Amino acid sequence: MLKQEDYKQHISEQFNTELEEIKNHLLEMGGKVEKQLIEAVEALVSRNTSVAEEIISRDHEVNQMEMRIDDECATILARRQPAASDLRLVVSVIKVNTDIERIGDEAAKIARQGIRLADEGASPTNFVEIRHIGSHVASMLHKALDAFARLDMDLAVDVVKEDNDVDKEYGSAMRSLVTFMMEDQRNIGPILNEMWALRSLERIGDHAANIAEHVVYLVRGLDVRHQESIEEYIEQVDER
Amino acid sequence: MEWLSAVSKVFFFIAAGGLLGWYLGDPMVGVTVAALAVVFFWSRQMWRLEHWLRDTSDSPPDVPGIWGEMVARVYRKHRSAETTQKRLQSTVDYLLDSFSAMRDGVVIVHGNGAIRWCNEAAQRLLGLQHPQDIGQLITNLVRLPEFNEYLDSGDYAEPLVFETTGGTRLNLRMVVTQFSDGDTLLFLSDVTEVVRTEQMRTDFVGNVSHELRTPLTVITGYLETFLGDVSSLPAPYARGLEQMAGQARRMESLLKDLLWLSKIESTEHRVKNDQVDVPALLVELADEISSIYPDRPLQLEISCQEGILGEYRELYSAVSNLVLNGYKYSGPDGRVFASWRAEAGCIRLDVVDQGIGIDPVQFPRLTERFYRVDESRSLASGGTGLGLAIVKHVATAHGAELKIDSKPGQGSTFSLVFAHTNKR
Repeated sequence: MLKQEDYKQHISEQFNTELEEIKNHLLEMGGKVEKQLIEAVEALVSRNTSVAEEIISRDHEVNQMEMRIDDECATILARRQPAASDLRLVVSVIKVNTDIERIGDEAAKIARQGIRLADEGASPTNFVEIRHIGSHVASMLHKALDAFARLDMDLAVDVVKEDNDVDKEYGSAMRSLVTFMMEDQRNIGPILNEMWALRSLERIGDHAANIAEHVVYLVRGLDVRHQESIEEYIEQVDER
Repeated sequence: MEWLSAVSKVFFFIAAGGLLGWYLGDPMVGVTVAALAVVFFWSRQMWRLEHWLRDTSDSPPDVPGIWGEMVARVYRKHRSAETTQKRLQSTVDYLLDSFSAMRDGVVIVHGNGAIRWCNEAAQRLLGLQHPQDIGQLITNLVRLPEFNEYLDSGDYAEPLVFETTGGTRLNLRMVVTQFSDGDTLLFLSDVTEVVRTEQMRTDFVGNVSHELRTPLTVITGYLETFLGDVSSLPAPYARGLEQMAGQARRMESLLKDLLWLSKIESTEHRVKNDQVDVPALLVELADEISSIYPDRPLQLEISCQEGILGEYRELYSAVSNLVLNGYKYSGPDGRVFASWRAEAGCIRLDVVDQGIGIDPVQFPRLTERFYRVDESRSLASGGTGLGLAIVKHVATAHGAELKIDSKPGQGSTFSLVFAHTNKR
């Protein structure tokens, strides 16, 4: 089992700091994206187009951070040829990095839908679904990043399981939006935009679950992707 | 000298052994036996002493001579060290206890950003876990861009107010103090209620002003229709209606200012990125003034062509409020000057009038809403009492400082001083 202190055990002080750095940079980027997501949902719900535009214009900062982290990881791989837990850290940082950047993109998409929805005027749904799933997904992302920072496998497993709830909520939100469209065809335009925003939120939930899966990989060295039940899988491995 | 007497005792004992040996036939045997006896005795004392030093919680051994003296001294030293340590520990415990019991969050952060200690309130407010999170970077757990920036900046003069992410979202106010070798102490207080109340107040003022406009439009509309045909009205009605129309106009401008103020307030914290050409703004303002006061032009003095980053409409309203105040509070032929010039480290906009001036004791209250130095005069001039409040908010939103300089009877100078960093 990987522990916090394990990155402080190298003879080369420089290597220690390099490993710490990529982790810190990744979490910094995660914090930024989490904020982008929260603000995007708020801007959409409150029809605040100026905030939405700001969010879109800030997306490139996240992209810059992604490129920098990838570059740092490549340098570590080339220069240090890490093994065991160090290698797992670098690999999972590279993977989580991609997921976080995608979340940033989805947040920008939500902001774009927000601008469109604000132009279209009143919505029959009052954005109840977006509000609800938005806050759920944001808390999932927060927990996934917490799990990464603390190397907390139990929390990571929780996040992976939570994604199923989000998927269910997404399904029922879709059904209720479809009834709105059937009620009055003038609703179709705005509701379609809302569906796009919901779709982005659902994708963000998936990315958060991916991050949590990478945390399990980082801590235990187990690849738990594409498993029916992550808990059963971990138990099976433990018994072996 | 304890040592001298102990050593002389030993020599005396060995000499006595030698003497006894000489009497019995061989002095060397006597000396050897005596020396061996001394060595045996000292070894035994040494063994007892060492045994006791291993675990000093036992009572000290009862050893004779210089050994007893040494044991007693070690024992005394040890006791006093123990009490000092206990006292220190209890002081430290007491301090940490008092921190723990505080309702505000306290986090002690190492110079490299790692958490050293945090109290229970901090765990609740920031979602930290004690003791697992000790040694973690605080920025890795709080993860807010503005939080990171604030801690990196090293400038902790102003407290930071931020909203946390995660399950429960709180508004926190953080004061940072540096101590010893770059370690920092973070004090966190929960200001969620305050922020919400403030938000409600702003929203309320905005909403009420907005709602009042519709009925007012109907009233002024009818009044204007009636007054359009004054001659057909009985004289007493005409006067009443005219006064009503005047008050309705005043109320309209009041609502307009209130709405404008709440808009500025709600966007105060947003970064303003448009390039504002201040010289052009002043020229436009002078044009507008010349239509209100045709024979008293605004005297412009533009010695700097630089603009600033900001929002044009807000800046225009602030400057026009200052200039119009200058006109309102000076005599019918008083002149008003506006200047725009660069100084070391800042650019300043001055509005100077030759009017009635203000007593310096009034300065702190001038920017309060609805505060008036002289009630009767302000009512006559048709002011809303919100002008300087607007100026103040615009200044804050643009990182500028509002400076007032005045003496009764000698005119006033209102200055907006923009930091140089504000320009592009």
